[in-house]
Amino acid sequence: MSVITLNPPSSRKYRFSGTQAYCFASAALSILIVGTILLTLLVQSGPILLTGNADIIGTKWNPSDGKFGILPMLFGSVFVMSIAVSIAFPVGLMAAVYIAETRSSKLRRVLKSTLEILAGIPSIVYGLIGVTYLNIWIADLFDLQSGRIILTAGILLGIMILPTFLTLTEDAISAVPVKYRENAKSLGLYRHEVFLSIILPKAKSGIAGAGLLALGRALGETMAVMLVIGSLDRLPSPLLNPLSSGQTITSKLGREVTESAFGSPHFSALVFMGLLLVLITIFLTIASRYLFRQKDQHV
Amino acid sequence: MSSPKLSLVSGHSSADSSAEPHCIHMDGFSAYYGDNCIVSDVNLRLPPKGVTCLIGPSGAGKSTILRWLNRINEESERASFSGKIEVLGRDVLKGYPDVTELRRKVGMVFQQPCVFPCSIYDNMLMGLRSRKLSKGEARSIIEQSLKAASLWDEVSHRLAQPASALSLGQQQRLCLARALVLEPEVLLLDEPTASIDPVSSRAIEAFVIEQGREIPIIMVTHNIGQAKRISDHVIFLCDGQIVEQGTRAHMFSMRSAEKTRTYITEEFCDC
Repeated sequence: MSVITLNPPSSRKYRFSGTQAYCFASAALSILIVGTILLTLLVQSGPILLTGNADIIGTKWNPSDGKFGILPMLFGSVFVMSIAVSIAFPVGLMAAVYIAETRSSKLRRVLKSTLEILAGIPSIVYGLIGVTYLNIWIADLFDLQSGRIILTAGILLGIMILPTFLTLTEDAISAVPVKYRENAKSLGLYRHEVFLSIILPKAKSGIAGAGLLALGRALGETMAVMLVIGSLDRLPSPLLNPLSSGQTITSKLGREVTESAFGSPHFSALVFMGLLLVLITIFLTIASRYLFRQKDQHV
Repeated sequence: MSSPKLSLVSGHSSADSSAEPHCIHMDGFSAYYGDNCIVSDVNLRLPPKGVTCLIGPSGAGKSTILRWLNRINEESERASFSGKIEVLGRDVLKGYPDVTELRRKVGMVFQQPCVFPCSIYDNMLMGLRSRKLSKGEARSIIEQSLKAASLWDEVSHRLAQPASALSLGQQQRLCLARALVLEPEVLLLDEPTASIDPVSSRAIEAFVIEQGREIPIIMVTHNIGQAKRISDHVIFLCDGQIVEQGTRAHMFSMRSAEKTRTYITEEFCDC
């Protein structure tokens, strides 16, 4: 009687172990890099946090007076991001639905390729277009002396994140298996009913991922925003006035990080703003995952 | 090779069947995918009741025929057909300018169970979205359909739970019940038992026999035994053409064509 061994040959075992070790090392390295970034930001933020300088949550930024109020930059980032998202998300979602659900596969390929090229254009190019045209159009439209305002930065950022959001959303919608569409249509559902009742719930995680990536780009974008936002370290007056100049965290970092001395309170305050950006991104990621998991459990 | 123009209603002669009502009538039907001809010159007349099984090897065009009967194939941009298809006395294209009307009348269940990302209750009512139903009415319709699909006892206490939590066999029975909610006048089944357990298969066979007494059911199957158990009529297709069609008694007898007998006994087709 022959004996069958369930153990794999030793060479296979070693190869598997090697692959496993490589994967583990890669995963550990990724976690280590994220941890190192967070730790570095935290350590470098130390001087400004430990000095007990209450002005860190103030509205005045004046390094020569030791004032490092970050609220104008934090508000500017959130405000610009909100404008960008309110432009890019509805337009991107509608366009993605149109491309994925109604167009021919040939046209879809052409549109997708174009969008992917747009997503890959360096941000400075968008910034130059913003300075050359958008800036002037906005100034003319609202009869302003300068178009370098929060609204211009928001619109420009919206245009910038649109291709990323659109192409990833379209991917998420197209990735829903054909069988869902066929089953829904065979029940006599109209195209819009199929999309709203079946496709959208199936694609929501992918769309949320697209939204997060787009948000990440919106939050982290520096050059284009820096060129058109007006760089004013003050809260708008009134607060939700998009026609005033402003400043975002990234544009502030882009302008001042090379001018500050390493280890100084000024440098530390700038790093602290960087830490805030990372924390906001982490919060958005966790919040969206939690939200979608909750909804999935309730279905 | 052209298919014999036979009627399933009254034996094998189209002349005999001219007075009989037909739920489905295909005349010179050919289906294409791009430039490829998938089905050529099919002539069919199906009776208003009973179970018709389409049998034949893979790629014979069984599913293609089925998928044109409710025009689900037109969702594929390269699919097209020529010839005439009449469903419930109306041309499948001109007679149904709103395709959703056709699809509500001609229900379809596919090979792979596919439940929607919502509760069992919502899955059942998906096709009735346009109708305003009271909770009592909705519950009654759901109960009736789930009972017909032999699923009520298993899910009655958990209608609010996600349909995806059901086993594959239960999901497929849910798909059948979901199609039944619309009270279809024709039911198309594309290998509904191909990927499920024997217990659910038997339940589906019972469902098909029961429903076949009320409405015409056209079912694609690779399971010859199943066709023998549930069919009233059988159509044997090979290489995109009808080789033979007739009543179950005829098709599973020694009187059937040699190719049919070879396929039925050996599940092999040399067309």
